Amino acid sequence: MKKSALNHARIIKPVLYFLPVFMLLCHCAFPAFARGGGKSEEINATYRNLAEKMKEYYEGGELRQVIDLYNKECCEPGAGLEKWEPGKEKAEFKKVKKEIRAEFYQFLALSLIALNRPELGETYVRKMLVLRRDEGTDKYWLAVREMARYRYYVAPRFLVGVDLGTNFTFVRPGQRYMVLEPASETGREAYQKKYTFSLSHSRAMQVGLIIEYALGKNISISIQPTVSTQKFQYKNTFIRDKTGATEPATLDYTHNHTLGYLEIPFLLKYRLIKPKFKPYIQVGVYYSMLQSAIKSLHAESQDQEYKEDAIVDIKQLLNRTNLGIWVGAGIESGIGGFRLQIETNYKFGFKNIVDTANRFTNQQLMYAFYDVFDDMKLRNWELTLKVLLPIYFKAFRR
Amino acid sequence: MKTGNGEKMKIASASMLSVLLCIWIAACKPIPRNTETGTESSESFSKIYDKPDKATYTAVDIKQTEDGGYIILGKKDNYPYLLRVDGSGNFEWDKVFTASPENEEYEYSNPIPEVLIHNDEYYFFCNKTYENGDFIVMIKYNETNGSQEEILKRFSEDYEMPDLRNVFTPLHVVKQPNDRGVLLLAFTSPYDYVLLVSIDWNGDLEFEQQLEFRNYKCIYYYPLADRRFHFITRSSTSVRGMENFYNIQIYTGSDTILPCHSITRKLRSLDDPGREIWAAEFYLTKPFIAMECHEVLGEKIETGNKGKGIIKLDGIRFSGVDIEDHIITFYINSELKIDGEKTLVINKSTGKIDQQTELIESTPVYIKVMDVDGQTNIFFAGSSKNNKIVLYTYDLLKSKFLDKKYVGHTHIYEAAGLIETKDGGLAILGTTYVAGRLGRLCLFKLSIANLHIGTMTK
Repeated sequence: MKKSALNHARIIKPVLYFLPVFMLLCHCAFPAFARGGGKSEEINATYRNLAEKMKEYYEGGELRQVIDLYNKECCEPGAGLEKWEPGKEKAEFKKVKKEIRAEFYQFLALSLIALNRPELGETYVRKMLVLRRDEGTDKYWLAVREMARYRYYVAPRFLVGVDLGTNFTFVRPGQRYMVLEPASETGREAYQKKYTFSLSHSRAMQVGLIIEYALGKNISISIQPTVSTQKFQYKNTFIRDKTGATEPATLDYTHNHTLGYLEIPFLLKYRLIKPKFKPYIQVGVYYSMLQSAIKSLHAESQDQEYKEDAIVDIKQLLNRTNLGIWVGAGIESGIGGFRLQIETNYKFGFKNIVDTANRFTNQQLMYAFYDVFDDMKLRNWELTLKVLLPIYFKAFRR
Repeated sequence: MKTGNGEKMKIASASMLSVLLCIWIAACKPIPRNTETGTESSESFSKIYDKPDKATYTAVDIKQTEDGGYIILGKKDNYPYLLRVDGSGNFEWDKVFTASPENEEYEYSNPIPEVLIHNDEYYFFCNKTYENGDFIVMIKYNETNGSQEEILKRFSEDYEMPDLRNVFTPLHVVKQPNDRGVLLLAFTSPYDYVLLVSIDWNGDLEFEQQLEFRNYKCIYYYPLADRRFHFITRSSTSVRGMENFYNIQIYTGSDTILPCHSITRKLRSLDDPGREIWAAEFYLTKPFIAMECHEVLGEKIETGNKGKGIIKLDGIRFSGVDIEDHIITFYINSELKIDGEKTLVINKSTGKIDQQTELIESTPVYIKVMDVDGQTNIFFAGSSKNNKIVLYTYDLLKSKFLDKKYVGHTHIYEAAGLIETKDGGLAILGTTYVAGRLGRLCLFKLSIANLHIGTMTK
């Protein structure tokens, strides 16, 4: 019982490393909520009036007045659109409700387009689209509507999130090693370890954080530090011939392994732009650091005269790091302000997970259970549920 | 603008597909999945040789072969058993010698150390059970054609006590210098004496000599149920006339001079084949159970008659193991000095004496002297009370303890041999009991890297 608790503690410990990081990210994320919720009603009311005034200027054809109003009320002194470059906005204006700011950007963009400054106008169209990302394009003025509908696609630029899932581990053995050597010409294969896969012995969990940054409307990069437990099993059977009336004393050894890794994948994600469900694929590399490694053993003879169980810490026998390739695919959908993703990944570990220098150093395993690790590479298939919070958006060109 | 974006999309898609293709190719690249077990022969390994039967296998002796592999002599229950493994400890072949090929009613039993290699053939001594008792045979086995031959069939038949042929038991055998033949110690129960026999590879007797000391009878199994008190060791020496020095220990008299354990030591020079030259015979108050003679102390005194002279022997410098008050005691680079009574006395001011309370007194201890990194080390391998094999290392010249290593866990592991390997490492032969009850041979190879001070405890 104590060993089980110790095992869990070893797995939970790395999760605790993430907690402060996650809280920091949440701290960064909450102002994004707050920004839309309004600050001072007074400021909002002032800018709402100014937006109405700007609309009047535009509808009256006073396009320069539109620009002057923006320069004066929304930008830092001398940092407006005087040089036909995007202005540096006041901090106060940035705190204004996004629908009011979107009004400013809309008339500003229309005025700039009309003044034959289409590229600068597009800048403000993009700003407007980011603020009105969930709205349709039908209510826009025709000049903007075309641009909004066909030229830009608003998507999250920077996201943080968490993931939780299950994984299944497969072992690819390389060079075989054994302590108990069959002293017969044909028995070698029978004495080799049999790597078995089953839903119960090969399944484990992973939990992690996600930081994603969109490079374009389709492509993004992400880092996903993940605490992953990986489980695999192998069995040995040492056959005894039946002699006389006695039962054969065939020995069965079952070895279950639970490895705890901190994995840091660097992924490149490609997603298709679809209205509701966005499928995506991702590839990348991952670097993993071994946090814990436990082997639980069960040995039993067929005649029941010998039975033994043990739990052994095998961290010293394994390489502390691994490197591999990560490929995956998933589907994404927006729920509320969040992005929900369900994805599946396959990980190809490059390195032998066994520390060859320490392969023969655990006397308990070698001499009590006749066990020594083969060279092994791990393959891991995982199914993950991800929840991501967009921190800010960008209108990407289609 | 749209065209440019489209091209970027195509490039990105093509890149992604290329990466995926590379991953797929890498994933499909075959890796060895069922390769042979083993390591480079210069590396360490641990092997337990299992058989799918319930017989008990016990290790007796080991030698390294020319190709770097090992030939192991053992017992399957009590039948002689040869096991051949390669330099990485991988099984090559084995053979059980159950009965005489000439008459299967006559069973072989009780193989003794050492197993010998001559002209790529393996030799060992064991008993052959006849109607009225046991007789000694030397068996030659040729691994190339699998032939088995009894070389020594009628050992000691012409000896003056003809009924001895029914009661001989082999004790210990060593190879003579220049691959000339073997020296065998054998024991006969009714008359309680040990016989020293020189035999060539064809099984022909060169000589046989009854060994006794002051007419005390030898004993076979008291107080320990093995034959460790009867052994032969050999050492080269700078003392002229004793270039081939044999230290032969036989154990006598406890039934006649109780409670003192007496020992007869006969030193024999065999530099001239066929000649029997007895060098000296000494008495020890306590027998050794293992010994490595490093140097013979003495001189040859010229008599002026055509270079002839007499050898004045002062003692020997040695390392050894005895049992003091039921405790295994190591002597490292000590001296045995001869007093006026023809008694050998340990000079306790020399070398180092180390008691090893963790070792079981009823199991053998093995000694090996070898150079490690330019330093002469002496290794002792024994069996501990917590069921492990223990390997001790001492600096021989400084008589200083260096390191020790334990081999084993949970089940019983007993030492049965210790040899230097051709790559400068050590091989420890042992017997273990798989799952606590099935006796099996085991072999532990320590590479030279594992023999460095501080690495043995790893």
